[in-house]
Amino acid sequence: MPQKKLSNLTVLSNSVQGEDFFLLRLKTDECHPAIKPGQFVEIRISGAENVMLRRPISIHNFNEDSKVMELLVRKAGNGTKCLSRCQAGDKIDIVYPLGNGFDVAAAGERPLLVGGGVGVAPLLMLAAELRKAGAKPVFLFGARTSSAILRREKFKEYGQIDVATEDGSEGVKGFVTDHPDLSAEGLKNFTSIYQCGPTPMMKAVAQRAKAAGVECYASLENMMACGFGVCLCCVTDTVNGNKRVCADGPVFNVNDLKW
Amino acid sequence: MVNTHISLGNGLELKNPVLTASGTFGYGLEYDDFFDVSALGGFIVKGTTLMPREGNPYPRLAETPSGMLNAVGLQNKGVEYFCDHIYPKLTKYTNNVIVNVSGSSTDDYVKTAERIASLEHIPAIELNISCPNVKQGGMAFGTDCAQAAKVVSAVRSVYPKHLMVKLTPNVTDIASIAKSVEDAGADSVSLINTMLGMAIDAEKRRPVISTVTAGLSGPALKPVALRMVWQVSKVVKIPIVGLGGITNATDAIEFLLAGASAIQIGTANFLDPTTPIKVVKGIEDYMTRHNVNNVKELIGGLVL
Repeated sequence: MPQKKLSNLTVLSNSVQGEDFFLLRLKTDECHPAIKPGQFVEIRISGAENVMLRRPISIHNFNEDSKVMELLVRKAGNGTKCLSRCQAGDKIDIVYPLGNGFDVAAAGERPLLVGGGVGVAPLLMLAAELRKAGAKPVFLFGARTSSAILRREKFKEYGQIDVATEDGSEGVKGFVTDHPDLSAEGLKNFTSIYQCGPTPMMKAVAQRAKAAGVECYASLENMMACGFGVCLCCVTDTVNGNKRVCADGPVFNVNDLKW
Repeated sequence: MVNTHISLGNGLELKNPVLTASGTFGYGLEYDDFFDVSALGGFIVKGTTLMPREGNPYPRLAETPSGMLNAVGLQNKGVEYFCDHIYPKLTKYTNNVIVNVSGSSTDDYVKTAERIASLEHIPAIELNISCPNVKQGGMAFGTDCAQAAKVVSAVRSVYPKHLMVKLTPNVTDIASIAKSVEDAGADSVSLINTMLGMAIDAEKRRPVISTVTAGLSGPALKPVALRMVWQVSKVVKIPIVGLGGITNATDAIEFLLAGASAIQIGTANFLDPTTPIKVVKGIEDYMTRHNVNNVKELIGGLVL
């Protein structure tokens, strides 16, 4: 079985999530490569103005029994806006799964899963895997406002959700780093941190983790052309030189990043 | 069965005229999951230099209308690493594995080519005198007839196998460069490398790419590349390998008609990783449809 595949997958449903997001449910191939949490797909979008390259989207969830893969997407530009208009029955040209994924073995008993905005996307499948492995994950989500916390009901199934909102409409007012979970005292409760979100957020969280001596993994979202390790456009600077976010990542131990 | 065999001379025999462009195909291995890489005429691996190179800082990429800009800057682990760690994995391929060789000085090119010459399963190098993303050397060698001739003849003296030379479009008269390179002993020329371009983020008033300027590739380049292949075909006798924005078999046929003996697929590999094998099949279909028994009949077959 190849590790990655180019396929035309059928859209089962497309549902609006808040103002700027949508959830695609896709039926994968009966015979599909193994899919790990933290991996991503590359989608080719036709009919969007000035869009040529595939768009990398992280895998939100995957059900091995039903073969259904879910993608939680932010309408960011012409490509994702065009994708947001697809309907059940449409075919999606996709290369999947890509990247290294999260190292679940390093989680320990009580991992903290930090998500900013649409960065929560890969944390759902991760949480499911962590629960399967016997861990008890806690989520810390940051958003502009309460209504922008995505997929709340689904995440609840796997653990407690702590929240920081910029407008103070829910939880702690401010950024995730203002939440007690990420204070020196709060971090004593956690065995590891997994995070995905805007780079400034991830850098700030990484600083706290390093100071507290907690293992911390970050999923990066650099611009990429190919998604499978050949174009060398998406590199990030690491202690071992430039590494490809698409193939050596997207998940890195923050100690390896030059943050 | 149509005959798609092409000889590029000096031992470089292609079962079909489809190659893949350096920097878009990794080391071939990355495509094993998608199709049988050995079914291509060959593939050209990532630009290799004498010493390891980290390349340019991120961001290195901008998407542009029908194209993209890159400023990777020849990131690679150097020729010794290639020979010791990558080459052994490539001997499984039954087609032509070609190494793209780049450098900052004539001496760099010569030493790297010499090292590659010792590898039994590498029948050719593509001498990259056209990379726009490095501060020293690279494109500087390919924009001046005398410089180009000097580096090609120096490499020629140490490299007995097929020597392909990759030309830059960032010149006034590409045909004269091609002629100089031919006279200096090149077995073939490949053209075109990327065109120097630029992208600006108006909101931030900043360049999109860390190096400000970068190399443009993709379908936006195709008309320029076709024109240059056609111009070069008028003045050189050695085979031409055409590239620049080829995304399907029709594009490939157009390059053959303009005078190319073979073609390379580049940026299209990012859009659909199976493009090269689709082009192989598409060329056969075209030949069948047009009653062309031998692909050589298409080379320079433009009706004026």
